[in-house]
Amino acid sequence: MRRRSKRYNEAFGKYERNTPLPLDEALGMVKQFDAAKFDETVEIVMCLGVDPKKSDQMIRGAFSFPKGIGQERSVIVFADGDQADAAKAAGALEVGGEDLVKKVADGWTEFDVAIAVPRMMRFVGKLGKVLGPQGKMPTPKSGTVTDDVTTAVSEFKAGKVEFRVDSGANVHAPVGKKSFSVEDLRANVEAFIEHIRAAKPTAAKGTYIKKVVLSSTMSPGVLVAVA
Amino acid sequence: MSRRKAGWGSVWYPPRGPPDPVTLLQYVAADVSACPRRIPFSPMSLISFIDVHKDLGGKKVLDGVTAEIHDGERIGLIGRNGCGKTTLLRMITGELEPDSGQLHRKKSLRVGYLPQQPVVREGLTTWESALEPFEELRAIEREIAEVEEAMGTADDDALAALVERQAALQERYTDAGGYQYVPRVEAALTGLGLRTEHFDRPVEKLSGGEKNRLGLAKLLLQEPDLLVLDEPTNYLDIHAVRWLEEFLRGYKSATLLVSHDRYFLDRTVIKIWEHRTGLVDAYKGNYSEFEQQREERDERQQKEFDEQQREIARQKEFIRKNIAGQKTKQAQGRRKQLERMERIEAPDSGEGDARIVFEYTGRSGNDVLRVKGLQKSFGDRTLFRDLEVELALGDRVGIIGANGTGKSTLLRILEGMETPEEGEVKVGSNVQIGYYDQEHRTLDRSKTLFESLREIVPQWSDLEVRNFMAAFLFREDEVFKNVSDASGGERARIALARIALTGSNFLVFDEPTNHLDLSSRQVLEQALIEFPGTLLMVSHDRYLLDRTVEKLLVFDGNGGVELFLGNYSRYAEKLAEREAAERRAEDERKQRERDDAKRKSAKEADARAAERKAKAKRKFSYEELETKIMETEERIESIHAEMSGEEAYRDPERMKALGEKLESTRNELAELEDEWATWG
Repeated sequence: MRRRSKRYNEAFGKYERNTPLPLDEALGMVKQFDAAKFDETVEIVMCLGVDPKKSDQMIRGAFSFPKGIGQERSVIVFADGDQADAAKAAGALEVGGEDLVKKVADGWTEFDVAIAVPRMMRFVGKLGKVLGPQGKMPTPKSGTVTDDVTTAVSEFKAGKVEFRVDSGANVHAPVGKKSFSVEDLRANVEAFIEHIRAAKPTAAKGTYIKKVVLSSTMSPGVLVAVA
Repeated sequence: MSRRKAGWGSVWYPPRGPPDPVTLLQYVAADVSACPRRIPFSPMSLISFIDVHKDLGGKKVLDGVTAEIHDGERIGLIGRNGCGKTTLLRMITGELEPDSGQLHRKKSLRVGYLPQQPVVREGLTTWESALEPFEELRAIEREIAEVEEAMGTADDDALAALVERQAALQERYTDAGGYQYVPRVEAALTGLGLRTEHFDRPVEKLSGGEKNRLGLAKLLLQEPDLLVLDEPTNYLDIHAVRWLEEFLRGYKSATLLVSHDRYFLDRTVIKIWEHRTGLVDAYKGNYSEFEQQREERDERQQKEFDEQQREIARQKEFIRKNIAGQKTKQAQGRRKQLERMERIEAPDSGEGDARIVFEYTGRSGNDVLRVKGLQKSFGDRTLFRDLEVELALGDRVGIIGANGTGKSTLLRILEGMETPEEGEVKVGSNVQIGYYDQEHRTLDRSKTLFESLREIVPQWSDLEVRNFMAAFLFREDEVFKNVSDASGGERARIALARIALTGSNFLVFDEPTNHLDLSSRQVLEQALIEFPGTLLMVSHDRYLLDRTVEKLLVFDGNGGVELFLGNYSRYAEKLAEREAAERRAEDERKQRERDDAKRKSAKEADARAAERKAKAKRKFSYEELETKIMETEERIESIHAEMSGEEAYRDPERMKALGEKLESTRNELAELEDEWATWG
C-alpha cells in the first residue's frame, strides 16, 4: 500500500475530507498546510458530467489566468519570414521552419508549448508521434495554431494553460503558486470555473460540474463547494 | 416476482416460447407454471444460452443448452471430436444462430475468436498482418497525410479548413490510441515468440505454429470482452504453451477455450463446460476437479437409476399380479403413477472409443532412410544445414523444436513435397511411407468424408467402407459430411483412416494429435505402439512422445539438429539439468561480478576515506605549501651555512643549538612534504 508522508497525514487531520468548503476557506486551507521546501503549485481538478469517449462532449482549450500562474513557460514557434521575426521579438525560446521540425523530430522536446502558423502545419503534422503523446501538438482549438504569433507567444509565455478532459472526465489545471495571495488565487479559480462552465457541451446531460478539488503539489485535496 | 434460489445463481422461470427480445422484466413477470424447465439467467452475464437447439446435417448438435458466461471467467469447453463444440463457439461469435431457444448477448459485447486454423490474409508480411486490427487508425494516418499534402498548394481559405480537418483527425487519432498501437503490436508479437526477423516474412511462409501465434497476437490486440480460443495449443511448441498458460492466468476478461490438453486446462481454467449428448454441463474447478466431480455425479446418477429401476420392477410386478384381481384399483393407480414417473437416465457411457490399426505392408529393408548433408532455407534464414539422419528398420524417432524451425519442412522433403537446396534423401528398398500432414492438405475439401476414404479402396463395398469408418467413430450421416464442413478432429481421424487403409511400413507423422480428443489420443498412442514398422514423428505432445519414441531429433532453431538417445522425459531431464547448470554458472558469474564490484567499491571507499582524512589534515593551500617548503629549505641551507662558519665551530654550545634547530627544521620540512604529497 502507498505510504503517505507524516506531513501529508498531518494535513489530512486538519479538515473534514468529504465536506465541501466555500472557495475562500478551501484556499485558506490549502495555504495553511505545511509547506514543502519550494513554492508549491496550487492545482484545480474539476470532475465533469461529460462522456469523454464521445467527441461532441470533448472539452479542451487554453486559458489565460487573470493573475498568471507564477511561472514563465518556454515556447517554441514554427514559423518563417516576418512571423518568425515577430515570434523571436515576443520572446520565443526557439523559432524555425523545417529545420526546427527536424530538430524536434530528432528528439528535442525541452519546451512547454509549441505554436505553429497554419502554413507550417503540413510539416508540423509529421511531429505527431513526438508531440502528440506529450500533449504539445499545436491545434487551432487550444489557440496554438495561429497567424498572430506575437499575442500567442506572450500569452503562453505568461502562463496560458492548455487543458483537456481526461478519460475519467476530469479537467486539471495549475491556478497559481502557494505564495500567491488568497485573493489572487480566488480570482484565478473563479475565472477558470466560469470558463469551464461556459464550455459546457450541449450534449452533456445531468449535473455538469460534479466536483471541484483544490490542492497544492504536495498536499491532500480539499473539496470546494460550487454553486 | 417469481424468483427462486437454485444451484449456482439466481433462477428465473421464463414462459414457454420466450418472448423476443428477452428482457429481465419479461422474465420477472413471466408465468411460472408455463415454464418448461429451470433456466439460470443472470443480467450480469456476457452471454446466455437459454434452451438453445441447433441441428447440423440432420444431427442434433445442441439439444436444449442452457449456460452462461460471466465477466472474468475462464472456461474450458470439452467434448468428443465432432460433438459440436465449434458450433457452440460459432454461435457465441454470432456466425451461427440457434434454431430455437435464446442466445442473449450483452450489449456491445466484443468477442475475439481464434479458430483452429487461423485464416491469415495472404500477400501481407507478418507485420502488416499484425497491423490489420488497427485499420481504422491506419486510415486516419493516410487521411492526415493527404490533408498535409493538400496544405502545400492550398490558398488561405482552404488552408484554414485543412488545418481544422488536420486537428480533428489528430484528435481522433490520439483518442483511439494512435500513438500507442505500434509498440503494442511489437510487444504482442515478441511476447508470443515471433522475433523481429519474422516481421518482414510473408505470412504464407510462416509455419503452422507461427500462424497460430500471429492470429493470437492479433486477437489479443483487439482486447475483446470475451476471448474464444479453439484448441489454441495445436501447433504451439512447449515454450509457447507455457507462455500462453501464464498469459491466460493473468488475463482479465472472460475466456472460453476448447482444448483436449488436460494439463493445459488444469493450469488455466476455473470452470469446465462438458458438451455431451447435445447438452452442456458446467462444473466448477479445473480439469482434474471436473473429472472427480463427474465421477461422483455418474456414481450418484447410476445409484439413483438402479434404485428407480428396482422400484419400477417392483411396481410392475405388483401391477402384473393385481391388475385383474381385488386390488385392481390400486394396480391401476400404480400404473398411472408409473406413467407419470420422471425417469432417471443412466449415466452416459459415451459413444465408445475409436479403434485404429495401421496396416503393416510387410518388412522393409534394414536401411529405411538415409539423409545426407541436407540443407534448406527460407530467404536468408537457414532452417537446417548439413543434416544427417539415418533410420534403420524399427527405429522410432520423435522430432521436436520450436515453431518454425523446419520440422514439418523436413517431413515434406521426405515425402517429396519440397526440394532441398543441398544434400540427398535416400529411401530404402521396399519402404512404403504413410505420411500424415498436420494441415490435412492431402484431403480434397470438395469431397465428403466417405468419398475421401472410398478413393483409397474402390474395390470395397459401401458397407465395408462404412464399417471401417465406424471404427473411426464416423456414424450414420456423419460419413456424408463434406471435408470442408468437418471439424479439425474429424479431419484428423479421416486422414489417419486413409493412412491406416493405404498400408505402410514407415509412418511419417506431423503433429498427429492436434485436434484429437483425449480418448482418440490414447487410441492413437496404442496404435503407434503396436505398429511394427519404423516411425518418424513431429509432435509437441510429450506424453505421446514418451510412449512411442526412443530417440529424438532436436531442432535448435539456428540450423543445427541434435540427436538425443532417449524419450522426451529423459530429454526434458537432461535439458533441465543443462538449464540448471547454465543458471548456476550465470548466478556464479553474477555473484563474482557483484563481489568484484563490492571489492572495488570498498577499495574506492577506502581510498576516498584516506583522501578525506588527508584533506582534513591539510593546513595550507597548495600555493602556501610550496612557499613554506621553499622557505623551510632555505632555512635549512642557512643553518648549514651557519654551522660551517668559524664562530659555530669554536662554540660547542652554539653548535649543539644549531644541530637541534636543523633537526626540528628538517622534521618540519618532512611534514610539509607529506602534506604536499596529499595533493597528488
